[in-house]
Amino acid sequence: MLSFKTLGFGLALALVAGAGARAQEIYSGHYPQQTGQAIYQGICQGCHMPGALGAVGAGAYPALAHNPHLASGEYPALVVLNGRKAMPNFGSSFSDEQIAAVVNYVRVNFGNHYPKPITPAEVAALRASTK
Amino acid sequence: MQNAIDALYYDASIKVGLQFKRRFWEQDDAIYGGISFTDQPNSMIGYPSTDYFSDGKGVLLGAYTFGPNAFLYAAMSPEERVAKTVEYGAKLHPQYKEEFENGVAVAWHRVPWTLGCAGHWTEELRAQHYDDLCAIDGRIVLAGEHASRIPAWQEGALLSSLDAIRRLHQRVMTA
Repeated sequence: MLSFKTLGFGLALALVAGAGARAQEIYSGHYPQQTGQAIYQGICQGCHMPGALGAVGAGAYPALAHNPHLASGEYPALVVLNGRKAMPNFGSSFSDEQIAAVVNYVRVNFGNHYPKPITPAEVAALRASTK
Repeated sequence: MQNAIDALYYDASIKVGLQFKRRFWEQDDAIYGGISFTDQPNSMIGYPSTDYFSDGKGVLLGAYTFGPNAFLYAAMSPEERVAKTVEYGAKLHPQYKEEFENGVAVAWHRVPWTLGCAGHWTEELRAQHYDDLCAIDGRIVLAGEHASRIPAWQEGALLSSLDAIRRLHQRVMTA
């Protein structure tokens, strides 16, 4: 008899693949978190780690702490919208408000001091310009 | 090949295994194998298809998620993932509270040698990058589920390795 363990990943994916609508539900969706801190701690730190310290394994998750690439709010907003290399795009899962909130949160925490915020309207413009 | 590698990110997935003092899903609820789907963040509960009717402890797949829920889980500590999974599951099976013993959680984005679960291909990405990803580039040839048309599956990984070895062999023999 096959054990559940050996069926593992394949089994559930088969079920998912067998029902298109179901797959859509599982792979897409929105995050409930609204504040920058809640979004960072609820989602981003899954890779960028608590304290935004980053991590190294087969590849590397960049540290967001003390990161000069955050000087302009547009760059991190673009990366969240469209992804970059190993980082998935989150444009379809986050509202403009959520992206602005988390970008602004990271830019004034973890040893970063870039207080001029990016606005949801500016995120919306970036979203439109890179479609 | 470098462009293809940079273009393909990995989907997130997590699994949580929960050990219980007894197989209450069989004994109380007549559930033998199968899956309960839920709209809670744990997405599903998988019941073992083995050792039916046995006494003693049992293990459930307490959570198995993709997409947003997988990132939410990955952002938690392993202990928190297990605790949350017990909390979500208890809404479906109140027996969880009495019978839970311990659990283990894996988030593939936190597994150092993969940093993710499976390559996320779209039709557009395939058209643009798949041939380059699979091509022999200098001294490097890639093999794995990410270099196959059956992503995330062991079958894709095996077929990819056979294909890579075949092409490598062909190249060496005609050199």
